[in-house]
Amino acid sequence: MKFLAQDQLQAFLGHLAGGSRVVVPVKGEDGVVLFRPWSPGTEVELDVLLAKQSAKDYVFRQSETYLRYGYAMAGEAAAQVDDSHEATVVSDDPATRKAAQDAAVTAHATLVAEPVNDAPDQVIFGLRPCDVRGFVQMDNVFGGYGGFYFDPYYNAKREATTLVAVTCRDPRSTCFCTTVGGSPDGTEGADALVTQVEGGFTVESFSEKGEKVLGFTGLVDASTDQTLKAETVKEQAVDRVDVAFELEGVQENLRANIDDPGWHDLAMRCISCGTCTYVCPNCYCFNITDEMVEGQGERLRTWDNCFNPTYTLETSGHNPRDMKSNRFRNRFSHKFWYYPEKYDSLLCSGCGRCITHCPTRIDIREVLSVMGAPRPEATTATGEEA
Amino acid sequence: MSDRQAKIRELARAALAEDRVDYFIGWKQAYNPSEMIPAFVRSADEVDQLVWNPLAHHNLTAFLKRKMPDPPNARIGICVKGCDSRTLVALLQEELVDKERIYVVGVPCDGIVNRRRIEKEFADEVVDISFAGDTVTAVTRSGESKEFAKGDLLFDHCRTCRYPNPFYADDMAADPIVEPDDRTPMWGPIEEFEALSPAEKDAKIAEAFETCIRCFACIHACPVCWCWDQCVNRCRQPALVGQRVDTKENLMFQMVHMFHVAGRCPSCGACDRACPVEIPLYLLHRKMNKELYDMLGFEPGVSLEEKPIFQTFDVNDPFGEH
Amino acid sequence: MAAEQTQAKTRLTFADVQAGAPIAVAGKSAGNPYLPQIATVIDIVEETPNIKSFRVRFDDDAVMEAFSFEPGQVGQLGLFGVGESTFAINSSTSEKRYVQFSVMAAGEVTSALHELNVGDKVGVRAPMGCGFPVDAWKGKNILYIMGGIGSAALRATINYTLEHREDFGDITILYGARTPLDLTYKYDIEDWQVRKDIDAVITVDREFPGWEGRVGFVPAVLEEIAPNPSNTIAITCGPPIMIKFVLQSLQKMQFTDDQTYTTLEKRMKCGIGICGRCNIGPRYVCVDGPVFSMAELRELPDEL
Repeated sequence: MKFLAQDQLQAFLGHLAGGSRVVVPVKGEDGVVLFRPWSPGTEVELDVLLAKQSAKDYVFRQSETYLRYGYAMAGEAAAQVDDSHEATVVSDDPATRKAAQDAAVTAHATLVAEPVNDAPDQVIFGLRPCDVRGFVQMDNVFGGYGGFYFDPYYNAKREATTLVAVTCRDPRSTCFCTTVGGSPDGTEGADALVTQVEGGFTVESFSEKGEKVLGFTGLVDASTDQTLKAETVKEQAVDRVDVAFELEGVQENLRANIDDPGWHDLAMRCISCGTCTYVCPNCYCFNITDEMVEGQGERLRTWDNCFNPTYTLETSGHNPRDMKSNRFRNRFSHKFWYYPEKYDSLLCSGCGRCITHCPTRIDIREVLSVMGAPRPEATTATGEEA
Repeated sequence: MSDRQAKIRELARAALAEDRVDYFIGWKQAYNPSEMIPAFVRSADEVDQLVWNPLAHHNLTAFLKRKMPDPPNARIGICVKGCDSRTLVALLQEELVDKERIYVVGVPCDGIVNRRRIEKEFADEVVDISFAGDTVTAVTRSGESKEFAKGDLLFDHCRTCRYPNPFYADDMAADPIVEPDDRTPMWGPIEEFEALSPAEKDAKIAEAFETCIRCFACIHACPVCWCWDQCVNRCRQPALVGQRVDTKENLMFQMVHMFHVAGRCPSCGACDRACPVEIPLYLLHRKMNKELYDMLGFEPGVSLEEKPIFQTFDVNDPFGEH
Repeated sequence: MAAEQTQAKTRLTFADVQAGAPIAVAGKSAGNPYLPQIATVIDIVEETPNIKSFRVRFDDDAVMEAFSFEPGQVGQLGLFGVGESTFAINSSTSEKRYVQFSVMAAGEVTSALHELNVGDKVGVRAPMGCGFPVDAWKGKNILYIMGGIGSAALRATINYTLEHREDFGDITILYGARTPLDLTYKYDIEDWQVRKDIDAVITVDREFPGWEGRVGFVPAVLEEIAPNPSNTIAITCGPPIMIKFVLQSLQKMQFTDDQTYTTLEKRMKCGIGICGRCNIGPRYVCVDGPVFSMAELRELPDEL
């Protein structure tokens, strides 16, 4: 275990910034903490436990151009656009038809479409172990787990990213990482972990990328005392995290309670916005749209969320999840039933941001305590409205 | 204060017991006493969860909007503060809410405390906020405690509030409190903003909207944003607002909202308080309020009889100059 | 895909993918499932006043040559600058010259597609999803029940069973539309009606000038023709309300949930099981569907 003195932090970040962009939590003038690119002198905010948003945006961008395209007239063809095939293409004679179709392929404007995939090397420093697990859980979705599709955009950024987590000294009452298999000193997915102790940080690495982080010459071997102190910080932090609900059986109970009127009661104060999903380190649903100006365009993907009332709205006007309560049910079921069925783990790392940032403080712990547990018979009677 | 809470409970209990409403919406404590949330009470024996204190910031009128009631034809009891009632009046003026389906309990309001101001005083989590007279005491999870004067914590729009009593209510939770004699609006930060140069204004706006994550909390929490569930901001035909999240599109997004609720919006600040990244959206709407007031002498939602400003025409209205 | 799922139960990296780890790929997209193949519209058939079929050929001959799909699979047909939408591939599986999609003008993408001329460029990501288990149906009677543009989702399957006629028992096609004008693939219908080895029942919702055929809603006609459920697979596709009543009728006629199939449509974006839009409970229509048996549907929440 290494030790980084507090007064070496800026130099350490400068070292990391040598080959990559460095992203750290920064407190703005308005007191809002957000992950921002670091530049020399930028103060790192580690006292406020959680940045408003996780660092998700730096790997899975809120909006990202993934395809650029342009229409242009094909060189020589541009000079002599031949529309005659439009008349002949419907000819009954197969040969005429084939010739006309061949002409059609080359005669009109050509189209060039190129993928865009920028993935600069970056180090995210100062994110919490729950945020790191958020990436681990998204990795399954984008990483072809179970033989599904492999997403080159996410993975390019993911593989170019080093995650240096910081142990949570003072977990909040809304933290529930230990309930969902994590820990305030969790290392799953982390390349390195720093722990605040008197005078600085202990630093541990868990991967090749993490070893590179340790390459900073200002690091010294941690003393026995520092190592012990770090252990104490970790133990105390674990003690501060409450068990929020019983995870055992949640998946089965959600399945059993799918038509339970309890969903309506819990969703009453939901305003169906997307805050919970956008501050969530795990939520990954997205939209795809085209933007084009004068023949040159981009296809982009942007975060979207299942609370958006138009999310599933079909052109016909039919909406499979028209009711607020249906959309509400979808998010929690996705995290604790749908995702586990496909990816054999959970889509929640217990950061509690969805609770503290929800405009009406919808509490995922309450939702799962109620709907993730067996429901009284009386309320599950079919067709009974709440 | 506790008198009002007792009266809210009493009125809610009666409405539910007499089956005049299917559910009653008030405020209750969240997972700890430092947070208040909307409460939906379905039976008379559950009314004791209802709470009234200066943290009761939610404008519950948002839950009367199209597609919010569940079931859709529910008869709803609801609490409104002064500013909340102005949004309700705006909806009633346009007959967007059926007066017959609602039972309104008016709550005279002494001003709401901005919890975020307290939060910023500590690195640790605030878990308890209590009130004794004009003293507010906040306690963190690790036991640190600080006292504040309530006046220092109020929202800006509460400090300058001239309408603390509801304009529309079936029953009142207390006698109306004394209102200021001078009803001339105070614009405070808006006037400061107007004094800036164009470049300074641009910079200020860019700074404010850079962090928007387009989560739509502002729109959905807005009580007068009626077509929230089919918002043109999400529409592709026409595509007024692009999906790209950047300062320009974010500003466009908020401008669309501002213009759509102009004339209905009394700048109650519900958007501002819902915003997870704390963009001062309230100021945007306040600016529109000032324009309407300066140009047309209009204040939204202060009279049930008045027609909405953009649904009336007067040849004497000024256009493009003031 | 089912077989692959049991093999690779781990998250992959670029190195794994380059080393040939089993992953799903949409068409030949060079490892990028979001990247459409550019294709050219080579023919447009006006099926009804608001439905056009587009025959498209991949500009890359190698892609066209390698293209194959299972009956019932879908593809994303898109216009650069507008967007993509999901459509059933309704050319025959044996068709090697082009890929056909039928499009009803309704929303942003479909209206723009209707503006296309022969020679215009489109983007195609296909095939996607799972087709019908036609191999498991060998030796069985097949009953198609379709309404309106629902025929597009079943056309490739119908053609497959007709091209492999000897593999199947009786084949019955019940097809209805609002008016005779709304019947798609009239050239197919003519063919069905002259063939002696299939039963084709065509119906329209109400009387129409010049229509001498059958009149009646699809579920009602279904009960009139009363197919025997013994050794029969029923496949239905059409407007949601029609599907609902057809399923009820089939149940009444003792078709079991294992004998009944449908193919679903949902609003989709990525088409590759990631974006999270088309799920019905834990199943994604784009990768787990669009084909579902009634037995599978019964397990899912009521979010069709």
